[in-house]
Amino acid sequence: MKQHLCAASLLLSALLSPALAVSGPSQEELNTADQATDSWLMYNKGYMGQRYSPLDQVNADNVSGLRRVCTFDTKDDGGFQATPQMYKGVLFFTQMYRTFAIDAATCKPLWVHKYKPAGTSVLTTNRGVAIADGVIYRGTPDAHLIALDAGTGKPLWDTKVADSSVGYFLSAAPVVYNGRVYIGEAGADWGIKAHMYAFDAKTGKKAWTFDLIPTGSQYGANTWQKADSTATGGGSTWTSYTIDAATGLLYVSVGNPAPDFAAQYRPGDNLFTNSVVALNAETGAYDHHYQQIRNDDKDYDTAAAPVLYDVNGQKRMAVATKAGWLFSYNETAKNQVFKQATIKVTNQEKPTTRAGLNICPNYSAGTQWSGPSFDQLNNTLVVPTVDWCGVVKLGEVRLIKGQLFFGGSMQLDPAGKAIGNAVAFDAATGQERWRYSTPGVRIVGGVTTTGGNLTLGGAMDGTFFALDSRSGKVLFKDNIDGALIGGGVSTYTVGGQQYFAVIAGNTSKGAVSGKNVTGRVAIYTLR
Amino acid sequence: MNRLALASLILLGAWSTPAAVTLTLSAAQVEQARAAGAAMNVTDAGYQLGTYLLRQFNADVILRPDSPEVDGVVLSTPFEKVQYEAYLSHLEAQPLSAAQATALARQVANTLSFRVYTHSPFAVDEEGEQWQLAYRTTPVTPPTQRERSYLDFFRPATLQVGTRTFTATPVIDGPYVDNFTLPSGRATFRNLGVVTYAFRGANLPTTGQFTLAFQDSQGKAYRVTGDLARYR
Repeated sequence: MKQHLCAASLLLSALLSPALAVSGPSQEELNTADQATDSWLMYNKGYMGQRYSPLDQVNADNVSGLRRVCTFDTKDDGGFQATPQMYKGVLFFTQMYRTFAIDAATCKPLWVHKYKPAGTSVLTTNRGVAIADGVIYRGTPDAHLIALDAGTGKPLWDTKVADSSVGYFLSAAPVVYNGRVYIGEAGADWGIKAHMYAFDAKTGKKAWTFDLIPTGSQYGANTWQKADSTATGGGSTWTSYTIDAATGLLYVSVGNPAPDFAAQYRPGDNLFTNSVVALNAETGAYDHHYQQIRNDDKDYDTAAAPVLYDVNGQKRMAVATKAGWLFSYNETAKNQVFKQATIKVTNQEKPTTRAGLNICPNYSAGTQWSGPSFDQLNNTLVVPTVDWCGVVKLGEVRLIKGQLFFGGSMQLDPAGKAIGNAVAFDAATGQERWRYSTPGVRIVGGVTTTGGNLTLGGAMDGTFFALDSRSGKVLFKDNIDGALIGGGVSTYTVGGQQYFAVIAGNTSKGAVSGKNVTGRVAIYTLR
Repeated sequence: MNRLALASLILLGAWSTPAAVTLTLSAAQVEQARAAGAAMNVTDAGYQLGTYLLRQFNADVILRPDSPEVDGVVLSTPFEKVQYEAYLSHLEAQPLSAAQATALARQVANTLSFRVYTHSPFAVDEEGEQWQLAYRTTPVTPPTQRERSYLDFFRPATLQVGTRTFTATPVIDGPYVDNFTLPSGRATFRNLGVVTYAFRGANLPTTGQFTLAFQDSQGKAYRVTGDLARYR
């Protein structure tokens, strides 16, 4: 860990306009971020991860009058999956190695910091930042956690979290809570063994580590019946985190075990993979968990961050998964209230065969990195989810210590068969209320709901849409230059006027065929 | 079949001391092989090769420095083949029926196969370039039903038993991409593949010391020996 500017970490911190002075947000502002209207402080807006804004200046009656005010082009066609985060009139977002600050009403660039990696990176996806006390925090593709001055982009400290040469990287948007920065690693598909961490926000010093693949005497270690298999156990944290500020619990969605398909190599439930685990944010101690899939053999991560919400005074936690399910748990009784399919789900429990097993969804479908939005106005959970099938075949054979272990490969159906969806479910019961579908076009980016009865999102043909949150009816559409939308929509006010910021450009570098369009942030407001 | 009968068959299989490979299985032997494969735990362990594993060159998820591309060599007699297919069919939750096992035994009668488990010597994203380089010195017929890979450069193998020599051409299953770990801890994606050499004929020996000789895609020579009398 290096404090106060490591030359190697700084390739470019270009001041494009006079330096800003940013001193917040304070812990009090962070605590109220879920309800704030003049900011969007976290990847999923606030600690509860609701992606809901009470703003109603733009609403179902007047949203057709939206117009694009400006577009900021990052000039890079790499994966762009962030949600623009706004504080004091400035939008912050990340794309691979770069961190940007632009004016939230005019797109005027304020500063850009380009991180110079110290090591190799297996995946450069990055989903955003944490903001607190004038500092921007982000993970890097070579598994460092860095702190930048929010006003200038100047590096403050750089902590190496893990060894990227063995497959670790940090794709998640961290969160800051009570002086700690929370982030965990990803890289399960490269055979890593993930952890969740807390770091001191001022110094970058590690405060605690929680092993997401437990071993030895740790709770859950007995769910890995073959101890050797924990060495490559997996368990990524891909997107961001959720905090219950009332209880001090940190909720972490944990991805699939590894090797992805050869489940018999790692007998047992394989905790904490495919789970949401709740930790004491202060100490990192285990509190409780819910596992969505035991001993997963189809790469069905629990990837998106969970959302916390209330149903008639009952505290709930919901999470949507790549397997195409929406789960809701009673956080008082610690039990599952409902498990609702968001798309067609078939053959998930069946074993893979040599002839090939038709399976829905495939591992690139369901709910990927963007979780539900909790619409406080209509008491619904609105979930982006992709209906897309494939065939999984038992194929690869691995000889390890005198035994043969069988993996497989998944062949995706043609992309034209994929159906994007934004689906509203009753937050109490899981009953479907409405569904907006886009045949042939996936919806993977973050969906946002507002107090104006609006549901906003984007599709992978570049269409930014606004739906009526009561019916799913399309009220507004605009195509953002054909730039695939894999990021999210945020909304906020600047000078009393409501704006929407949308990230578009690409989902993952190299993952999408056809012409890539450079990453861009489009800002909208009423005419 | 009830559990007692199944156990009896497995015990019978385990206790009987082979004196020679059986190239044509009896009905009882087919059932023993089927039962042995079905009895293996398909959820908590892999397929157990036992003594059919002749040589293992790599024994871990970690690739040791200079370790060969061949991970191991397995002798597959008709008995082992039925046992193996029975295991796989249970893994697929589509158990092999008695009739299917009999048909399979008939199909593999008078055949001695060797399954060679391999991984690519290069990372997956280097395979295309390496294939082109190898093709310049060793032209091969490009495959049409699978991706080009190191597997295309495996050549015929010989099986010597006493003074008799038999030849078999490689049959390829692969390539499949999988993750390995280098000694440094660095992750690497390699292709996997199984190369099968099947020696056929009613006149195949059933006893005696044997030597399987073949070369891998890089031309490295392997000689794997054994005693046919030890196998069923």
